[in-house]
Amino acid sequence: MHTDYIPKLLPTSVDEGQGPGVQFRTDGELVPMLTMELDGSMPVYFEHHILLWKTPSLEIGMHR
Amino acid sequence: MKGAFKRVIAGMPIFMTETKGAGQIAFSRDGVGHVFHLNLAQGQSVEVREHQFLAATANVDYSFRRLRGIGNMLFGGTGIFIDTFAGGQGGGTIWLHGFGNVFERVLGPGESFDVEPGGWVYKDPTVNMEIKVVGLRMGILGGSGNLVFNRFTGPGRIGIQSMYLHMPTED
Repeated sequence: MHTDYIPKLLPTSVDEGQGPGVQFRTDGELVPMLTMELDGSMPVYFEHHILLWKTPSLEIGMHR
Repeated sequence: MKGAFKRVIAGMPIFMTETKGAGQIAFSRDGVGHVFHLNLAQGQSVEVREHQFLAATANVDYSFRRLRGIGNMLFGGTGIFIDTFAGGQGGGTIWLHGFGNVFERVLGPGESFDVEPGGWVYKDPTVNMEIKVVGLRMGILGGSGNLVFNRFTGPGRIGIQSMYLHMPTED
């Protein structure tokens, strides 16, 4: 079977991801959880209904 | 952010919110799926199907457009939104969600790939998308219907999800 045409599965978990000002990881399988650690240098915006939990040190507001 | 983010899922208004400071935060989606990230170099952009976006670093620019057409109207009512994210100063990161699992296909120049209209998650702007409708008829007295799919032509990446959904979206 030729496999070149078949789309490749993206990684289903990340242990040590890195973005600007953010370290992140994913855990879980059926409904995975994305966890980020912000160093304070870069805000992150998101749709409000996906927030699962946070440490109280993080502020939440409208993104403009 | 260009334009106001105004969207509704199942009657619930969606707000684009932001977190800042130092600390930890976690996100999840109300559906079985796959969470993944895309890094965007400064000036690099990606187009994302509606309801797939999770989060982005604040240096990622966001805009959207409404795509209308029969292929996207059959299941969702009036069409779909397509979000465009572009890496800003120093490049940024976006996180997306796909239903089921998410796979990526890299198309060469002029190479085409047909996908069920609810099956694609993201694509590079260099990938062209067309709507194809195949008429299905069972003889003169038989029933008929249409098979609709999107044809993507490279060069560039296209992400597809194994569990496709057609969620109605209001303007």
